[in-house]
Amino acid sequence: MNKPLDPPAFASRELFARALCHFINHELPQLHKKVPSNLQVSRDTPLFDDGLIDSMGILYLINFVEQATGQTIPQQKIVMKHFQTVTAIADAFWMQPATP
Amino acid sequence: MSSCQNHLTASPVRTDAEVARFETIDRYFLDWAREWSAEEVQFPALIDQTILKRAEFSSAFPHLLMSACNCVDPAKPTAKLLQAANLEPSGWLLSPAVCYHAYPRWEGATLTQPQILTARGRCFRNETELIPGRRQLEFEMREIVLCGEPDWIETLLPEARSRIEKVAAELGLDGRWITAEDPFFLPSAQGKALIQRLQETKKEFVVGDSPPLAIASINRHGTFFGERFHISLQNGTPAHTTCIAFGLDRWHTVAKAS
Repeated sequence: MNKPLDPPAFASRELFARALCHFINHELPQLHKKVPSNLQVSRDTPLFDDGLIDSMGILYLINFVEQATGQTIPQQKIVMKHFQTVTAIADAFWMQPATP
Repeated sequence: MSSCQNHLTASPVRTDAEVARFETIDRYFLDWAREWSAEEVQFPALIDQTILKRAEFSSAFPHLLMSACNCVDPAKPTAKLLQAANLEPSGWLLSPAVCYHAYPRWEGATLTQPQILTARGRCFRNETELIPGRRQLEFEMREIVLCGEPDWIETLLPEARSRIEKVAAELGLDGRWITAEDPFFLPSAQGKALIQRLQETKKEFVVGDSPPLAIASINRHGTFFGERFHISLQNGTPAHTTCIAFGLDRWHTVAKAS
């Protein structure tokens, strides 16, 4: 994974989930041509059924989460319960932005 | 590598008593396969390189491949006979696992009933770190390979896990199950390892702690081999496969130690 940049501040889990959906539906198909460009992933769409997120897609997805949170995801947190939907990812990895 | 009378060997040389213990261990798994009415097969040590290419072993694990070569010019002086410049690949690779021989057997078939096959064979991997009994260039593996409907496979796996635990207990081994991933070579294959971990497609039964040693594994392939070898279910969809693998040298080592 790339070194996380200064993360964009997502003030709420809701905003983080929305950004994730936007990434999967609009940015991921540009990055990875095997991902259909007409995705309509919602927060509770199973991401790994029918190969929606494949072995390249997961790399981009993890990279997005790491960039967005500024944190490297430890290997022990790479389990299906944290990745099966956008909601699960947001629940597992969104963090309250630090107050100045 | 181990040594025998000062000669290096690629796998341990065993005494009568050790062979007997080795066979006793294998017998647990063979008996289990027979109870499941598995077809018993013996595969060769060499495998056609096109099979491993189609199975994507060559692209995923090129660092583990070992090739059988022949001399371009057998008349070369001994000092130059086996130099790289005088060797050419024969097209045969040393089998890295037993189950890669199984899928071509079912190639093109539409399965009218689930298939179970067992085979024991010598396997070869170009490991960088060699520890006799634990990680060897040459080792023996028994596998039980399942091919059929996904639901049928899933119903067998809890029994497979409990049978492995029972054999371990009978041999005095204290093991546990962990989620594992294959040692993919290219960084671009890192995603494959992550998907394996997420979907828990590879479970290893390990003993010990420093480091844990995997002595058995259950590998759920989904339709990966069904697609590549055109093995179909009656509804026309690709068959699912799973292999249950036993590293016999490792079982022998840890059972002896216990």
